[in-house]
Amino acid sequence: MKRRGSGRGQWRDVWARLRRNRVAMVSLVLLALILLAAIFSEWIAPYVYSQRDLTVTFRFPSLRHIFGTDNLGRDIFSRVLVGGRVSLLVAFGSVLLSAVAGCLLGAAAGYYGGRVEFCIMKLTDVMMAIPAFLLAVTVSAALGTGLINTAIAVGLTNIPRFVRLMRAETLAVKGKEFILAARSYGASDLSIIFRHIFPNALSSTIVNVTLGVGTAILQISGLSFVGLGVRPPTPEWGSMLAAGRTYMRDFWPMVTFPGVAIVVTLILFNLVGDGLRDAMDPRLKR
Amino acid sequence: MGPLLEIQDLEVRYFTGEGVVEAVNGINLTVDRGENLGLVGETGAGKTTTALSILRLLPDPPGRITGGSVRFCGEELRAKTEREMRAIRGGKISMIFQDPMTALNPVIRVGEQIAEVILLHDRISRAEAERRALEMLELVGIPAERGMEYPHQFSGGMKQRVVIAIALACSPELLIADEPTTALDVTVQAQVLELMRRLREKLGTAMVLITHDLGVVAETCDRVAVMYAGEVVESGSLEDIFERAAHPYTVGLFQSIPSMDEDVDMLTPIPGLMPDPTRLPKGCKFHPRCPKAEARCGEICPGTVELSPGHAVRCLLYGGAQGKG
Amino acid sequence: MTAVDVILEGRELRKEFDVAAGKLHAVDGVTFQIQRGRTLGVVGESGCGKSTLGQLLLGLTGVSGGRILFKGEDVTHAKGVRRRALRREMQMIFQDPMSSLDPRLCAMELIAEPLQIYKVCPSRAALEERVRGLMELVGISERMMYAYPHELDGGRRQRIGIARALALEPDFIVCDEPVSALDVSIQAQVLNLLKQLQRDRGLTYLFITHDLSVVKHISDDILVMYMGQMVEKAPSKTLFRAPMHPYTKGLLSAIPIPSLHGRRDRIIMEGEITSPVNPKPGCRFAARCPYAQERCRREQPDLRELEPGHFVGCHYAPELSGGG
Repeated sequence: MKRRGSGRGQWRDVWARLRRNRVAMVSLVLLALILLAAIFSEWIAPYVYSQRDLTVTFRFPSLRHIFGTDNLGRDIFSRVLVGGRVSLLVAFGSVLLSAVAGCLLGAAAGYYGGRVEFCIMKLTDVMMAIPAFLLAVTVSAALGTGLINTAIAVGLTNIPRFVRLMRAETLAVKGKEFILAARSYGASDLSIIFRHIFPNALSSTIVNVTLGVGTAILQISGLSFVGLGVRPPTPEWGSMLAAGRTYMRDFWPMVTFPGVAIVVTLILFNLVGDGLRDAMDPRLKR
Repeated sequence: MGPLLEIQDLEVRYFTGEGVVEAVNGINLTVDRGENLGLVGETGAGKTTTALSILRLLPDPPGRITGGSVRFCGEELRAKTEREMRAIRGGKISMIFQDPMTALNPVIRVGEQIAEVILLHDRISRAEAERRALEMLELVGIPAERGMEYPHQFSGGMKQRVVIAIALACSPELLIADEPTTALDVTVQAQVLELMRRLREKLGTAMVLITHDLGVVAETCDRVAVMYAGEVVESGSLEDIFERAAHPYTVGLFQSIPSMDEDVDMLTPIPGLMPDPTRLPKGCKFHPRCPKAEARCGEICPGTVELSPGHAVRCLLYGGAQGKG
Repeated sequence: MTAVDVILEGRELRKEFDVAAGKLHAVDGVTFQIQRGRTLGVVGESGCGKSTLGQLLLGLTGVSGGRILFKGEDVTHAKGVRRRALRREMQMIFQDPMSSLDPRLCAMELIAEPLQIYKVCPSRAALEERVRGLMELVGISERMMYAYPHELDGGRRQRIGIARALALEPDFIVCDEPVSALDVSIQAQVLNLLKQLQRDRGLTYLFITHDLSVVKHISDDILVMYMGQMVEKAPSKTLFRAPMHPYTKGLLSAIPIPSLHGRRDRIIMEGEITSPVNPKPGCRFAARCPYAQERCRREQPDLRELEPGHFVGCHYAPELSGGG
């Protein structure tokens, strides 16, 4: 039995448990570095990302250009940094959208059941029947390109996974006696959902969010790759991949560095997500 | 001929991240052939751990037998190979668990589940095994034709009967029953206890009955061992325990139960809580909750004293100060 | 009738659930009164409808028929503001504190929640003070304030459940198997606590349990249920001294008694309780009753007052009891 010094000990506990997980901590530090690098990319970048220099096209990595230069002589390292900012920003925005909308809908479906559930779940099923990327392409084509529209397009397509997860979690929690107890001392539906159901579903939602960020990065890259999504010259990992594809055989740096950036970020998000899930369950012993 | 089962100084530890759980601390138990020993105690007393140690079924890690011996028919079970143990489990010693709902495989017909056990231990044909399985069903009061049904078609009490049939299928010499009726309603519990009593009389099986219910013990056992914090604090015949209870814990246990015969306004509970098994108190494990505790109880670990033949107690009130620390 | 202070009354309460096989008569025609400051014990085996009865009284599930009167007022279909007000006066203690306490909240938050919902305390400090008082009342030390349910033992967890039920100072509490999940030595502590609280605060309990020795200890009156119906109701002492319904007799004789004396002759009832889905006419206990006659399978017995305050639902109870 442990004692706590002050009121809100829960997050401190989560942090304490997370700190003991070495893999998650290393991933978290690396991820933080990537995020910081993306945020301050304009300052860190050794060159201006859009600055062309046709005298130095297709340079392999060297001390002057550590990731080399692309077909227009732009510094790939600078472009990966700035591109990361765009990719991550849009990805976070879209996941925020799908998580908030999905959780509310899922909790409503699970908690109220009946007709509410039927409508929400049928709509979800229809959305899931359409291949996610196709849906994103359609929405994106309808809305037009641009950062916000891309975020909306990707966000909408990812709502169903959050709805389904939250509904399942809600159903599991709803059967527990403490929900009945809460009703017996007069808690309203909304307060039950926000105080009891959401916190208990939080850990799986956070895992889903971290996984979702990964998927979103891929989808945004995909959209940019096919020419929707983010428009050049704004660098974005997906569009950089697309541009490099033409020269893949003879000049590897143009595809490799943005590709590696995507893969590494994805893996880090998953590892941090796993660690968080374990750390946020107070029932799990360290 | 010695006792059927003899446990000496058994010590079991669980090595967990939070520390070493001292689950069983040097217990001594004997069960004679055909005898029915009741092992009584509250949650965390080490009853189930003891039972699992006999069959060497402790989850390892984290659990490990760290000392003592378990002799069955004079042979040391701790020295057996895993292969030899498998022949003993279900063959010579079998075990019944608390929850009949999860003890049966839901996708196999009950008759087949009984036959399975018989086939594992006896070299007989499948047809012969199935015939014997149906006989076992009849024996526990289930019509043989229901052997073709699946577990979900049986009620809770019926399932526990099937579990008993499986346990007794190979005519074991010792049956370990871990809270066999706790999950059942009282009227069904009465049926199952009656069945077990009848079968033991017929088959002469010895039994270790693990329970927290002193009522069940009074109705089914010959001898009783009371466990607290991994130790047997008192053991003796039914009369010794129910009428001449000596250890303050045993006395407290009886006073905690609301009586059916007398009206009392307030119960006399044992104060305090079970000790944390990773940090057991020094000296007598019960002394922080004991109404008769003296200063020396916190320092000296009491040894076992025999009050009368067969009635042993582990308490400084009755001597036993020479016990090892 | 109103001369005695009746706090809660149920009249012909019914609850049916739709299940795949038809209609499940979970509670069927239950009638009782509880006087202020007393305890009505409800006994029965699993599936007899005793928990459903408790939930009906608190309005946690809607009734299918009958009426509930609380302090003389019909609250059967109370909704909205009225229901919220009622919830302050009627509370519940659950069987398994592990599942009735939200695992993500600590003791302080758990006990404070009803107070926050009804905005009882004007400030954070007042709230903490109140919670501290409640914890002291149920005997949990203050240093457990920020402990989570999984860090506590069963007894302390149940004490938190009790503190939470007491937070709004209710008059009436439904205790649904509050000690069944606890070890005997802890069970005795909690039973004493419940009795003490009743005495100090004039609480009224509906005490649901399957454990007859517990119900005898705590109840003034006892109601025995079988397959959704009440088969016998009597003052606690009378019921245990002279049960009249064959089911009650069987139930009492089935309890293993922790004593070597006074072993009674066992009446071992055959069969098991089944769920009352589309029940046939006639006495529901007839299939297991050793004394069942032709009439029992045809005709459902009414509850008759055979002695003052002693109600029995059996055609042949007087003969069976008279003849021994």
